[in-house]
Amino acid sequence: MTEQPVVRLRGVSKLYGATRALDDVSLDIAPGTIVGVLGPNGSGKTTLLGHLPGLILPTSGTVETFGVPAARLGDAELARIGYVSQEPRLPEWLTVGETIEFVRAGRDSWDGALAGRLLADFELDPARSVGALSPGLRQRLAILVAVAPRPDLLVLDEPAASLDPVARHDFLRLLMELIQDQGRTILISSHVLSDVEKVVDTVLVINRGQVHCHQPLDDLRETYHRVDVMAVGADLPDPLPLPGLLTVSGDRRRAMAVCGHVPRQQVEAAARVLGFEAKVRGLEFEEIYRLIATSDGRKV
Amino acid sequence: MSAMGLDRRLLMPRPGRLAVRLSFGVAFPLVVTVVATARSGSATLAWFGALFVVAQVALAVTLTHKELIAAGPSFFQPGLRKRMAVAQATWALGMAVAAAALVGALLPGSGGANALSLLGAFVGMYAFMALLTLRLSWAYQLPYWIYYPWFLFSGANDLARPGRMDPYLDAPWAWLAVGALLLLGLMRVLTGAGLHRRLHGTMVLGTEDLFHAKRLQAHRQERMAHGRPGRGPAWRRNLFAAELLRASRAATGGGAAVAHRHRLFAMGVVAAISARTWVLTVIAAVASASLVIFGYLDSLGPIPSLDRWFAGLMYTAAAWPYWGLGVYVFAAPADVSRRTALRAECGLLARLTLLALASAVALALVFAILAAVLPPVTWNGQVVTFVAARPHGIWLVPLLAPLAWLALALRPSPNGLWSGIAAGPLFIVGHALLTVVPYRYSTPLLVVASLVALVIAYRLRRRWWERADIGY
Repeated sequence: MTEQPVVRLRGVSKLYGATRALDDVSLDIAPGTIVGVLGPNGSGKTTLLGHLPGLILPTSGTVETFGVPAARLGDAELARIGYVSQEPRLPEWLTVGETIEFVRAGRDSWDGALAGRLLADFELDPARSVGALSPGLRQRLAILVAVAPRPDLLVLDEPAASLDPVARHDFLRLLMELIQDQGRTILISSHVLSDVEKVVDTVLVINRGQVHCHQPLDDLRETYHRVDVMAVGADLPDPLPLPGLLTVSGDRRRAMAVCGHVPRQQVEAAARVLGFEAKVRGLEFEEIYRLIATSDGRKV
Repeated sequence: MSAMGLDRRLLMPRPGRLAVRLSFGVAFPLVVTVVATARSGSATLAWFGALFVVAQVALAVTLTHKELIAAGPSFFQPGLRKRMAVAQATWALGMAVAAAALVGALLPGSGGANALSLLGAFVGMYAFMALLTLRLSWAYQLPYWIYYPWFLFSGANDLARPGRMDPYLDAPWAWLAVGALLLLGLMRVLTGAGLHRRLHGTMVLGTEDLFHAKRLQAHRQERMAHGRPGRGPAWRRNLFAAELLRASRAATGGGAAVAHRHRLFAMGVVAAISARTWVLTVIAAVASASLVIFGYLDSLGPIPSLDRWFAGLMYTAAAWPYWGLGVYVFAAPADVSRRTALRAECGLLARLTLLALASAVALALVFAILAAVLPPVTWNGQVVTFVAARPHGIWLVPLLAPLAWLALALRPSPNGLWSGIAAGPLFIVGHALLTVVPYRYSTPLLVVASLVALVIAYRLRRRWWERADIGY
């Protein structure tokens, strides 16, 4: 039997006036998946993530979280969600300790040990007023209160944007630890690809409100290749007859091609048959992302 | 924190801040109500005063709850919505009992008013104000604005006459039904997801923030961040586009200060004029109704020739551009030199002064036309005539501009809305004083005061632009 997805979107569109922030998005997020939500500024990442806990409602289409329409999520479902926004707004009049106490109230799954450890790791003073915290410290506190209840679904919208390198490292370590818990689903949006690459197992690239790619990271790595081609005898043919050819640069004697959506073996076999020297290598994740994000609406 | 602790926190949210907010809205009207009721023996006055106090308490408590709802984690907090609804219901019922007891304490037997009617009215008022607070993004200004109807009622001698409102107060089931319906509506809004979704992560201001320029600016920018320049009715869009076009032309022609002035004005259009057509329609309807009502009311006053309401309306209308000056001059991004920014500010002041003068003249014309077409009406057995307000005082409007500028300049940090809000009542009081003193004395006096204010304000503003840290 197929496991029920934690999140299911069907034909979701969101309009802000004349601006189409999401355009007919359909996708399933399986339990236990760590999804990196990527895309350029204004691509619709925040809007997409806001739909999951029902903070934003679709103009058309349906969103289900834990099998319940997101607009009708009750206390039981909402308590299973942790959410960190880009600029979290916390009760400024409370102290750090009071904020933690406030969020802890009514949360049976609250992990006091984890909260205590994060308090120390993030160097948060429980007696300090939230209003007096810097944006970075406020972000750390937002992460703490979102993570400490050990939610089943963790939605992180640019969580590390205002963190310094050390705090970001701590945060990544925390994410790694959370991933160990089987069944926890995490969606994280970030522009720092090196961070995303370390933690996610699935990549979701969105641009202009459309999903360009929703694939396991390993599959992406296996289907995108850089091919260095050198002519042996006759000049290289134009165009290069390589499967899944995306881009080519160079001249008639030496060229660098990028192939996508094909297994490595297929590219190597094609190069052998054509009789020129070819070296096939994997692409860096950043290069793969750039190819997908700039594919101008073509879905991968 | 235990669930009980959370309940306690919800029942008494931010105690210190709540006390500050209540002191603004409750202390003064409470004293006035007690004194006025004791002198007049009017149950209506006691009832209305108590209603006002309940309204202010509802605003203060709900604003604080609204802040809590807006905090990010609250959306996901199990049980919070229901607990908050319970806390609100407790406040509504508690205040109703307290207010009814107040009326009972002021007048034996509540002055003949039905106790159930009072309870229903107080619960209804609490719930209504709470709903309004949750709905309006500018609800932090309500504790200030509702003083206007309160003063209006306090001054309406006929309504406050003992026994005048008795027939209305002797309908307990109607009042209880209204109160219960409004309270149910409040419960429904608080427990539903819509309110929490709308407020999640937004910035909520308290009444005391009228004095916090930076928070006011941040709030305004957050509201403006929803991309309103291109929205709203066509005339608003055209006004915005025209100002930007002028700015662009002036910049091309080398007039940096003029270009900056036009850009400030364009931003002012976005900041001051709502993009929502229905809001503009409501404002226009209220303003039109006020013109007619106040025109008639003028003749009821003890000194009809003073034209109090006309003066109030005229000066409030004349003062509105200064609100803008107080807010957007300082909120505007300055990619120009400090010297250019000062010159642009002076240019803006000149333009706003002309706008104020034009609005005062237009208002006087409207009054004259209304006086010509509106017939006398019979109200409460008395023939009331629409007063044709004299156009005196219009020439005083531009003379008030330097005083408004001085009020802005005297604030040591970038200014907030407070200076602008204070301008309207100050103008009304100023006008009243001017009309008491013969014009041959008051006009030269104002000319001198205006010139002195102009010089001081200019020097202060120049020094501010030269020395102040600019937060952008």
